[in-house]
Parts: sequence; C-alpha cells; structure tokens
Amino acid sequence: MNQIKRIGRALLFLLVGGGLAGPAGATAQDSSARLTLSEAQAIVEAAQRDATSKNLRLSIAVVDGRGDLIAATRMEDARATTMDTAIGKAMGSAIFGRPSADLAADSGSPLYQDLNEAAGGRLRFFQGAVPIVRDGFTVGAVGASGASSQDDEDNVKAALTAVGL
Amino acid sequence: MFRNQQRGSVLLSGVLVVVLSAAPAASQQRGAPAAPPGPTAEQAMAALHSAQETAEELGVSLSCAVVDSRGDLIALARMDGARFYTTDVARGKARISALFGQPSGDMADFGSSPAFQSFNETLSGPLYPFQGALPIMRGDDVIGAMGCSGAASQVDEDAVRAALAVFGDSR
Repeated sequence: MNQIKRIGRALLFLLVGGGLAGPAGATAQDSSARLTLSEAQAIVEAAQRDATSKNLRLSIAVVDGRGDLIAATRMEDARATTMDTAIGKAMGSAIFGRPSADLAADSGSPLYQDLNEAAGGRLRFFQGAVPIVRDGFTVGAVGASGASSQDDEDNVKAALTAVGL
Repeated sequence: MFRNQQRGSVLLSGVLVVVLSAAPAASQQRGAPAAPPGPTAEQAMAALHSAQETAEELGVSLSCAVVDSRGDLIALARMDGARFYTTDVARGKARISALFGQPSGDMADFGSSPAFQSFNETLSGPLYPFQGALPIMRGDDVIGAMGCSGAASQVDEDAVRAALAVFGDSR
C-alpha cells in the first residue's frame, strides 16, 4: 500500500516537475546536452577556488536536469549539515529551472510541499543555487551552502562563469 | 539454590558476551564523539578520481562516495552512465561501513535483523548493508569510509580498495 502511494507520488513528481522545469519549459533529453561528470567536477572545483579566495567554507553540489546528484564536495571546516542543504537547493533549482532564491517565497504552498514529499523531503527552497542552462535547456543546477545565502549564490554564479556555462 | 543461581548468572553473562561480541557495533565503534580528523576534501576527491580510473579500466560506470567517521558525506561523484540511484546506494554503503568500522559486505546478516531496521529508522537515512564499501583506517581508528555502487558488488569493493592508498591506508 505504502509502495503504491510512493509510486503515485513519484508519478506526480515526474509530471508536475517535468512540466515546470526549465526556462524553455523542458529539460534536456538529448544526450549531447547532458551534463557530464567532468563538467560537474570542473564546476565544483571552480566553486571551491572561488570560496577559498573569499575565505568561505562551503559544501557544493551539482545535479542533473532531473535533480539527481552528479558531484558534491564538502570543504574542510564546512559544517557537515551544509552538504544536504547544498544538494537540496540544487535539486529544487534543477527541477523548477529557477534560482532557488526565487522559490523561497512560494515554498509554503501545498504544491511545493507535495513535490518535496515526492522527492523524499530533500528539497531546500533557499537562496544559494542556480540552474545550469545550455542551449535554452536546464541541464542541471549547482548549489552551495555554508555562508550567507547571498554569498552561496554569488559563489555558484562565479563558478559557472569560470567554466563558461 | 545459591549455586544454581550462580550458574544461571554465569550462563547469562556468557550469553551476553556472545551476543555483544557478535553485534557488529561492538568491535570497532570506539570514541565516536572524539572522532579523529577525517579524510580531507582533497583526499576524498583524489580517491574518487582513483576509483573512476579503476572503473574505466574495467569498463563499468560507478557512483562513489567518501564519508567521515560520523557517516557524513565529504565528496561524491556519479560517472556518466551510472544509474541515478547509485549515488544513494554508494553513500548508504559508505555510511554503514563508517558507523560500524567494517566492510559493508560483512554486515549482510545484521541487515536482515530487526535491530537493523530500528537503527536505520533512528538514523533517518538509508544504510545499505551490501558489499561495496570499506572503512578508512588511520592506525586503529576509523576515520571514515568509502563506498561505490553501479557494478557487481565485488567490483564496487575492488574500486574502493584500489583507492584507499590515497588516504595513507595501505590495506
């Protein structure tokens, strides 16, 4: 019974999440548009360099267009809990195709709560993650956590600029 | 009467000793609060690269995760072509390996016990008691664990073992 419920939720998640994702209204299905691990790791490393230069200690996570984790790192002295926050912000940002800061205002709505339940309660609707867009498609998102939300967001934007995305 | 009681308590303590030493927690779970410094983020990422190289040589796609001694994630990577859920499995294997200081493959029996279920619920995160993760040791201390998922579990474990040298753990 529980399993049926879970499958139902997952379906809802796919339908609603798929419908909302991406500035172009779609996530990339084309394999050439997908984010690779080496790209994801380059983004994480660029974010780490930016954080080090600003004396910040962050967790950084990159997810694909479906919100599934590709790469994550927690820097030395970043709090352990920052990791799941970084992942959760990135997941929300990828699924909605919007900066997680834009999602904060609506995060109390039943739709967002249902989506989060379908995602196993992992989504975090706080500033600090932005979508990764290629050819008009949301191919993923990168999120950071560990500093002020504004610093988190500035960090991931700087990382994307550094790698040319 | 007194002798019987004594014998009973000796028996009971014997049973207790056997039960306790059979519990996976008893052997290595030392000093969790005063945990030794864990693997650095730099080491963790180097270990992930090492596991990726092993996986590429073997023609498989893996997700691998490095956690500290408390089971908290330090670094994770999912190779292109690895299924999406392998990230959670790699992390969950590494977590149980770190928490008990044992290879996750040694925990299969524990995984089918009711105690495991309540433990899993208490920690409110998935623990996977399947082969594919090994603890990272510094001397006698468990400083973390690394787990991989995506291929046959022996291959997962082999990729981890090959990467352990990065942490100065030369088993």
